[in-house]
Formats: sequence, C-alpha cells, structure tokens
Amino acid sequence: MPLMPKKVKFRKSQRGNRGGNAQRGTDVSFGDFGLQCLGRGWINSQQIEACRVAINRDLKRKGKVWIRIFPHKPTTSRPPETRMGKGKGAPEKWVAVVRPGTMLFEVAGVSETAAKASMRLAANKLGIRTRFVVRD
Amino acid sequence: MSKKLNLHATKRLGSGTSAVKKLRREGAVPGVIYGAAQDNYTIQVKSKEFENLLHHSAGENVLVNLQIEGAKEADKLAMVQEVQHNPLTGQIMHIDFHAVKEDEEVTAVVQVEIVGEAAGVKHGGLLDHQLHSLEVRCKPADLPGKIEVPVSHLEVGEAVHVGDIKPPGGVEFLLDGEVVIANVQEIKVGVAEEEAPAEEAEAASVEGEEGVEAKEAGEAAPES
Repeated sequence: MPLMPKKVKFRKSQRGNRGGNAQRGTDVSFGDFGLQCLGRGWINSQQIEACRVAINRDLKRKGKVWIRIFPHKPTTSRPPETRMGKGKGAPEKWVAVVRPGTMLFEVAGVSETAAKASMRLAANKLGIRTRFVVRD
Repeated sequence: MSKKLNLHATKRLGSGTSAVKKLRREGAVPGVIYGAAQDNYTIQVKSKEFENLLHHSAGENVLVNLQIEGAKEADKLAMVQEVQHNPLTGQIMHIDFHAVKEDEEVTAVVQVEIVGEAAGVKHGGLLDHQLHSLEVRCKPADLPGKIEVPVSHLEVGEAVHVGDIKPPGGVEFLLDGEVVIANVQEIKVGVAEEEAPAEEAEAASVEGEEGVEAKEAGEAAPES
C-alpha cells in the first residue's frame, strides 16, 4: 500500500512553489546514514515505495530503515484525449515536495558500504540529484 | 572534562541578512552572546579559527574564553550553545555563545556514544541506538565532551537505560532513568515472508492484465 494521507481537508491542491532550500528535516536524525536530496521537485508515493523496496531488498532486512518524507500533496491529471477546460482533472497521485537539503531516507544497523550500496539503488529510483551522508 | 580554549571575537555592529552575508564572504561567522548577569550583544569570530577549535575538541560542547574587542569585559567565559550549519555546504552560519560563571551549574546537551559491539548483534540481533544526545546539568568545568555507553554485554531483547549509566563526576542526568539509550532487537524474519507473497501477487496481477490484453488482441484480430 503506497503512502497517502488518511484524511484531507481538500481533495485537490494548487501546485505551490518550491523555492529556497529545506529549512528542517535536513539532518540524519534517527539512523547512522542517510540519503539527502540536492535538487528540488515532487517525489510521488510510488517512487518512495520503490526506494523502500530497493533498500530493504539490498540490505536483506538486516538494518532499520526510516522514510523521512511523506506525500501530503495530491496532484491531478487530465484523462487522455480530453479537450482543455471543463474544470480541473481528477486526483491522480500523492507527492512529497522536496527542496535541496531534505533528508529522504535513513538507515541504521548496517556497515557504511552496505548502506551506501542500498542508497545508490534507492537514488536510482528518483529523478532528483541526491547524495549519501553520514551522521556527524 | 572540557578545558578552556581561547577564542578572539569582535563586537558586531551591523545586523540583518545583508550585513551577515557580507561578513561570511569576508571569512567571519556571526554570533551572539547571552547569559545571566550580562547584556546580550552580537559578535563575530573568524571562521577558520572557530573551525580549528571545533576540530580539536571532542564534541560541540566547548568551553571558550572569549576575548571580545570592543566589549566592556575583555575576557568572558562562555559555552558554545548552538552551531548552525548550512545543510548543503556544511558552512558554519551562526554561533550562539552562552556566557557562564565557573561556579554556577549549567544545563547542556551532550552526545551519547556507543562503545563496543553488542553480544546480541553477534547472534543475529540489531542494535537500535535510540538516544543520541542527553541533557545534563553540571558546572562548566565538569562538562563532558561526550558520554560513552558500553553495550558489549547486551543480548537480544536487552536494553541499556539512562539509569544504568554512571554519570561522570559532578554531572547529573536530567532525563528519567528508565529512558532507553539502546536496545538489541531480534530481526523479524516474518517481514520477508510477508513481502514475498505481495510481490508475487503483484507479478501475477501484471501477468493477468497482459493475458487479458493478449486475449483481447487475439479476439480483435479475426474481426479485422
């Protein structure tokens, strides 16, 4: 089951802006290693789930994984071959808005080499530049 | 125990985003000093000097003897309360100094470091380090750089609590003794078994859809 809010006040949201850098959620807070976002954009629930599966498979469920982002924002899309107008499209996906500096995933209980390898696989599932970071 | 290190600082006149940005470009770090029985004011320190000071200390809890140019009192004992970093570049953005008196107790947050490998980990367990920092109260001279927690005796299902750790001399832990610092968990094999059928079901559903499409295509072909 992909991540999505249990209940929302409004079904559709405006696109918003993604300016600036992340102001919070930028440190490795729970685990020993993390995957930090360097770009900005939307990461949808399917991508988050793909990353989670990739990390867990690679670590063979030895470590502990934290997902630091949550897709709070609904996005809509129009059905194919539809003319413009007639209102906004139907809710399609749930996305997390990420800015440079956001910590996406964290891992603990494994070696640095293993964590790095699993984070590389996760990074490949995202269309955003990322980097591997170690707790200070 | 932390020892006093000397650090040169200058009283800062400008404030606001543009002024501090200019300072950073010139190789200085903006900061502020506050504390009991003194006025709060803004200061600046040389970036290189402060980075060297941090590199040569055990943790971020550093006791400094600030020599401030332009201030009423030339020497001031202060604790580094907070260091703000840029999350992308790691550059030091701002420093908070907390002016302290040698004979008065202070509250500080100290890093917790796990020492050794847990016995339970060797038997297939997973060490979960839950508490990474600990609030302590002590005199500035007694402030530890870090608190070491030995975990080599921990078996699977066991935990080390704040109450199990003997505080260094003159230091008092402010957290409840029952708070868990680290525990060794058994790795759940059930998750693997749970996930596998779900993936198979997914694969089956994809195959099923392909099968339907193929069937439809097959049906459509004779008609055309």
